[in-house]
Amino acid sequence: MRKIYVAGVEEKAGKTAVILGLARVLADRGFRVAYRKPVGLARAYRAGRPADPDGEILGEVLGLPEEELIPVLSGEAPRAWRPPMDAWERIGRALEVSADFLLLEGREWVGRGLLSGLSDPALAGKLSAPVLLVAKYRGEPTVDAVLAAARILGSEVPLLGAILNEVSPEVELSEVQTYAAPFLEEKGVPVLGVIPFERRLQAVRIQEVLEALGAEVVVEGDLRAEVDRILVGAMGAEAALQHLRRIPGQLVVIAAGDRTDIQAAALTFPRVRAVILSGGIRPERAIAVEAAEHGKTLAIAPQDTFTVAETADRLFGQTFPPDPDRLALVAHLVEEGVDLDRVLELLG
Amino acid sequence: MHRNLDGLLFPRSVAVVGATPGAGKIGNAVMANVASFPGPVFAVNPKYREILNRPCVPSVRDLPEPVDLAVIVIPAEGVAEILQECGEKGIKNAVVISAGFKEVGLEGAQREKELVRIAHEYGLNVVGPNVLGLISTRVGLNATFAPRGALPGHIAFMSQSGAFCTSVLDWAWKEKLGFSHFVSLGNKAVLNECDFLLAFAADPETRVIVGYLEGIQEGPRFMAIAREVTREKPIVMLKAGRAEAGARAVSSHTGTMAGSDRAYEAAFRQCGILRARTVEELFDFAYILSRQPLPKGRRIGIVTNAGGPGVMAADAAEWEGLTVAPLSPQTVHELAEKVPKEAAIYNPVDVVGHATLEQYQAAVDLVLSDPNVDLGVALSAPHPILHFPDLARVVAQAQKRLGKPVSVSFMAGDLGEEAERILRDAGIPSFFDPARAVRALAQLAHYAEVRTRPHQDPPKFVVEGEGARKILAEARRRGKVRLGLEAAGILSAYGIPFAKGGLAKTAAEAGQLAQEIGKPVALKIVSPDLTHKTEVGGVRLNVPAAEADRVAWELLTTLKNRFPEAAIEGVYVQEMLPPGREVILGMVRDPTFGPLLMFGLGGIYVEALGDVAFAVAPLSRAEAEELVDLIRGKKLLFGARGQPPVHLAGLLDLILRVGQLSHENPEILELDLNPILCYPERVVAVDLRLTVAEEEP
Repeated sequence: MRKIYVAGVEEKAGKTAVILGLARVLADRGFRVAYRKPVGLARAYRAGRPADPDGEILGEVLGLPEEELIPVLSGEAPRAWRPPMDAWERIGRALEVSADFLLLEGREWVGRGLLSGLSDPALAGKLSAPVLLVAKYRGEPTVDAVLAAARILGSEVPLLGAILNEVSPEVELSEVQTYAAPFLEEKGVPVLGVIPFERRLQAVRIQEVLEALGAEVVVEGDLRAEVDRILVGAMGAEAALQHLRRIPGQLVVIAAGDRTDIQAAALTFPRVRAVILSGGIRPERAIAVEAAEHGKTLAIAPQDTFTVAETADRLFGQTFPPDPDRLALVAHLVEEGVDLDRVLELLG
Repeated sequence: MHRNLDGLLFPRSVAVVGATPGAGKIGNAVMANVASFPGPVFAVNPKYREILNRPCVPSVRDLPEPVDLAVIVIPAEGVAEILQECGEKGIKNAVVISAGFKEVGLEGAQREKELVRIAHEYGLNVVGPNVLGLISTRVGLNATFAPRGALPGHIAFMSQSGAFCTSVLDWAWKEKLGFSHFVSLGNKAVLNECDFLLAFAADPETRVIVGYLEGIQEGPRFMAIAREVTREKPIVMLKAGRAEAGARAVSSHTGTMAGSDRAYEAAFRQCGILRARTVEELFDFAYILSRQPLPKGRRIGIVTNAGGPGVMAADAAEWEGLTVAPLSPQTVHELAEKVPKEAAIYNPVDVVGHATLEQYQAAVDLVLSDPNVDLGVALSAPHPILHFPDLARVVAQAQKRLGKPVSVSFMAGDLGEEAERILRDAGIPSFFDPARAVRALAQLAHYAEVRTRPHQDPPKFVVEGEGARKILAEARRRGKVRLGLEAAGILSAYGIPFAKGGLAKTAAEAGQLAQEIGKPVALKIVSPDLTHKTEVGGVRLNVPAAEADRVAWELLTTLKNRFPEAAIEGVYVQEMLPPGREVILGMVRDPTFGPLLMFGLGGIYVEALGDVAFAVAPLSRAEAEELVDLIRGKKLLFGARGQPPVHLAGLLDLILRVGQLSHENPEILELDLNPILCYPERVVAVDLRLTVAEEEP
């Protein structure tokens, strides 16, 4: 059984997506693939117990039973800084699987857990799993960050290489090919994949936004429609129109219930998929009629505008829930972007 | 589409669907009003055989003839079925008074959709729904539920607010103001202001078209129609929802955007529509336009027997854009002979308090017959000897004899009532406030100019439209919303002069481009994320061609470091131009009217003084000239303090071409040419910003 330990150069580098894609691609080649996250992060509660939703999602998608996937959960409260006494025991037990490939997911980022002893270098080293680093590309600073991550791993831990994620095909790809990748290779870090920035992976479905807010749907448009950004309509109507014109992507607009001017403006704008009224104020009838006429979702959320905006904003950049369209997209991106043959060759 | 509304506005027979004999019901109020119609009237109601001495049939199908007009006053749920029956019966016109449609919410909106579908299927002209009804005084029809109808007259009135209609009707009785047509537009599901503009324009009894609107449904069509109509008849509009609070109220009421007031202002100006700010102005303007002749010019003659009112009138004349006419020597000479010695015999002519009726009359006659005077205002304060009714008769006679427009301000209360009646019979408006009298009068001069101004179509330049479309399509395909200098090809495709230059992706390319230009260049960073290039330090000016390579490298490196998140596409290398007079031209696509151009002096003038003017594109050459003429600082362009004038023909050409570009490419949402450098021999734009609509996923 060959192991790959996927570690993040920074938080939210895109580990989950890479693992998901790798799992798909490997499975397509006929390999049996298993997944474990030795140390998860308790970010949610399930049935009264702390849980790691990212890991759970992967398990769900890969069709794996829940309990053994994440043997240890860490937390951010000081009393959780020290791991349970039997942490290594549990991890060892969880890793007793039989598969052709075992994909291991690292901690939030490569430096986490140095205090507790449950860090990526410690885990990958002890489990003899070569590390694949994932980094969001942002120019030269990213090259340095990858090199720093390699240093944190140290010479004891085998480094497989790095994947540069969210590379803009328009403006960054040529830079990566000409400079960043050759430099990293020169420093001994094989660049095993370049994954293009994909707007749709950052997108959130209207339904997800509404669920997070506990919002009530007044007019139901396409709830599966994806939005890329939130516009908080707290400015004058003319300024709101200017923002609507200039902000790219699909939008959800949040406006106070009495700001009918902004609501009306947003409803006529083709890229606005939903308008959410804050403060639990019911929309004017005329606004509801317009929403229906334009086929847009109109909802009311009980919170004030700021809370609505903040809650909705947190959704962006989170791990997407399993959804056939998105899974297919991720698999496609990894297949296109990751040099799997080279990965297999380096794994031996 | 040009609809024939004859059957609606001049019906020969009418049916009231939902008529009832029960007093206190809308169906009864409408029937009572319609019953006075001189032609055949039918009631439709299965419960009765006769209502108010008119025959009643059980259903539309049972009508003995396809009446010209069906007035529908039944609950909203049944309206679609009735309309369907009207269509099958061959009835072509309907007024749907019933409420319970779009204005009540989603279910109502569904009903309204069905109503529209049936109207289209049978080609029905439908007024409403949710209206007061309509009145046509010429055929003696009052198809409303208003307690009182309208007096005959020459003003055609339409209103988006039914409640305002009832108020106007009641008030108009008191004022003895008559109407040719009176229409409540309601939800405008089928017929809207455009259709009625056309119909009123064609009606010989209508002299003035007056409207209260909260929004316009088809901006470009409205403008095209209004432009034609105002060549024949004046249009006066009260467009509500101008200020932010008002605009918000319109949105609450209609669910639609009020649209920018600047766009309405520009569109109305371009179409020659007179804009009233208040209800008072709306009917002041309407009345004077319907009753007084148009002047040949803007020169006003003022006659008074009290100093203060004369001064106030002179002030108002200037505010309203009129000229206080210098009287001819002949007039001054004769005045000197006929009025008291203490009188002021130059305009304003003040015959002073002890002047006799004959002296006042002489002054009015002389001033109004002066060839230098196009219109006149007569003023008076209460007087121990002179009687207002006598003065009123003097003014009315002079107006009739000389055929020049006149308004009056007798600054009085009860004392002036009889005079007002005399003046009203003569069609002369009379107000307490001299400024109001002058403002009303000024509308005649404004409208006279609208009628005589050149009627031009926008020029259509031969352009490489395909080239521009390709650049736009490529940007949209790549999801780029904000474009800058890299899209300069769009301008050259439309023949819009732009400083020579090109996009360099690397410093080396920048060096090469600079060598090709062969003189000092400007280097400007190109990034959709850094649109304020100067503010972020993304512009280097006057760079010698030989150093362009190095400076471009510095520019790229420093900005990349400062803004790691920004997508930097390269450096735009542009010929360095000498200083010129700077202007800006912008465009924002207005939801109602489409491309709204903004023109102004550049630099600090636009930022500190806001000296800008607006116009809806595409423009005629005369409208482009007007746009330039509207800014306060225009003298700086025409040549001030010994400076030669800028190349005005080139500037107009540039404005017209940008107008055509904006008109032909609706995916351009915003455009900014800032600055445009103006020289005596040419004009040239040096910077560009664009916002384009993203492709639909």
